Amino acid sequence: MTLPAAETAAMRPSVGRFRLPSLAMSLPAAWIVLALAVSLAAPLLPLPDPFRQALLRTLQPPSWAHWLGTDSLGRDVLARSILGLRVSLLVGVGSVAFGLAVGGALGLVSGYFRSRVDLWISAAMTVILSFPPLVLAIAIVSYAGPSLVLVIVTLGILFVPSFARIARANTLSLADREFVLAARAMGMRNGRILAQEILPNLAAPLIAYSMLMVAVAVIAEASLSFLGLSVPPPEPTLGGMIATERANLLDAPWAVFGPAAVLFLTVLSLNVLGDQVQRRLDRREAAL
Amino acid sequence: MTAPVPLLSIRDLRSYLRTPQGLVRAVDGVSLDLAPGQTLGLVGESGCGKSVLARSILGLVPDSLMVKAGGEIRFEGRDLRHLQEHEMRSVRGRQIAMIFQDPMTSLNPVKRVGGQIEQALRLHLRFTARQARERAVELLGSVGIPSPRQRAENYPHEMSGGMRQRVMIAIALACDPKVLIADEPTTALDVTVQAQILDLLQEQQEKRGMALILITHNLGVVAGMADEVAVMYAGRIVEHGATGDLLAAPRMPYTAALLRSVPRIADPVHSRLEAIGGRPPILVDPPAGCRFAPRCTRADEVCRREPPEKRDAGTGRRFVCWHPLEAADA
Repeated sequence: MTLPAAETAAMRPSVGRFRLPSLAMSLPAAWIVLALAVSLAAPLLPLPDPFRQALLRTLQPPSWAHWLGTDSLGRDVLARSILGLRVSLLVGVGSVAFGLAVGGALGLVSGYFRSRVDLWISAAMTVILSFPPLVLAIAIVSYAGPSLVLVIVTLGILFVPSFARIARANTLSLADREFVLAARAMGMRNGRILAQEILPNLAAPLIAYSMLMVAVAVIAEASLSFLGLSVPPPEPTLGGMIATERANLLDAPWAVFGPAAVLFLTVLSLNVLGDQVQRRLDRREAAL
Repeated sequence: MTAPVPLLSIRDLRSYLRTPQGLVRAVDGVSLDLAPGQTLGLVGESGCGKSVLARSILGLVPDSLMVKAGGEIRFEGRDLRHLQEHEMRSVRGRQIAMIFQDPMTSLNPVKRVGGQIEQALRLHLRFTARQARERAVELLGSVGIPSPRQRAENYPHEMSGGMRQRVMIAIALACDPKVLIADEPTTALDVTVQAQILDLLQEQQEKRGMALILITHNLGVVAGMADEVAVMYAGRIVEHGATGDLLAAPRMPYTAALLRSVPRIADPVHSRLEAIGGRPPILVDPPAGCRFAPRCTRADEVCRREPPEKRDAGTGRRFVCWHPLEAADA
């Protein structure tokens, strides 16, 4: 007996669901896992001291002792890149978490209660959006003096409007759905409806967007540190390393390309992953 | 014979909605009584105010959209219209529960159905997580869901429409409400499933001695289940009476017209179904006289000018019409 293809497919145990992740997904994921692991475990790794200067061994090419060579003060580029990556990821994750929490909450409230609340929150968001973001960040940081917390909060504030918009747009359509009415008919208060009925529906779009925003934050931090407006030296940052060594680009390209490659791979991986996650969620959304 | 004390008593209720076109008189002077354990069928076309009436009872239309133009809703002696929001919350779901038309959208798509039932139990009855879990499974079983323990783990999209409506009923019944308002509970379902859901509602109602307001545009549904029927047209109750009585001998021409537009199995094959000509009036500016007059075959000058008074034809039969049908006409 032969069956139509569709029926045989339906009868097969769902092997297709657990197919191996594609290379486009697994390579970036592997890089991000490695980056996180290395930057968390940096103090435990058998790396050369990133702060020790060796003025007789400046701008050494890559070797067994220094995998990515040394910089113009004779410091190990790999060890410094890892510490710089740590700052980048801390700023990336921290500022996005700030933007997600504050922006998400504002968008939720504004989309659910609408009317005057919405008007005020949306107006405030428009004000933030009307500043050129990097210029605003430079202004804040150069006024108050560079520090890790300040960079995180500044970038976080810049992210608030976009998270608020996504949360608001989704909440607007969710709040009109019948399950919200059903929850009210069940006797739930607004706070509980927001937290238990609407928020779970927002998680997917917000998380996908967060991954893309971490990439943006990493670039923003690199730009600030390139201008000397992130964590002050001697603490290494990827942008700062590129900035100080760019005069020696021809003699010692490793000192610039080391941190640049780390930055490039991290941002690329975050973007590819974020895109993939977004696409999967869209597909899931369409299937519901 | 003394009439039973009503559980829910609605007097001259007026709910007007603010819209860009103007104030819509969606519910315009409705009076109803509901005794404990009674089933009241509320029948009418789309847009005649049935759903707004239902939502008004539970105070579900936000004040920013609705003008409470008058009337009272007495439930066990309290006027629901004047309760504080937090008092109203303890009525919703606990005393009066509601189920909606579309089970596809009235369950939260990202939460397991078991959890959605547990939520109701924990909210009103202060169940612990474990108690709620057990009770939710029991409830799923009692509304006819096979292997309820496994099904509680399902997400709504993993269930059929009929199953989801059963889940909705389980949620509504979770806190043992005294009144259940079912707003077109079977309209979005397959015909074969409709009968099952109605049977389930009836069975649960009898078991719990719960009063039921069954909102529908399907007279067949009402005929099988309701003790009393109220026919609603353009924001008003135009005829009200015991089900058998009213369906056998409608007095108000609108009721008669509705009945004629129901296909009957005894009719000859290919006989043309009668429709009511025209559309219900737009309730921003309703007709001055009888609201059905523009579509009524018996209407005359008086009907167009003067709104008819409510008439009492005895044995609980009430209607509003200047030229009622006699039993022989129907």
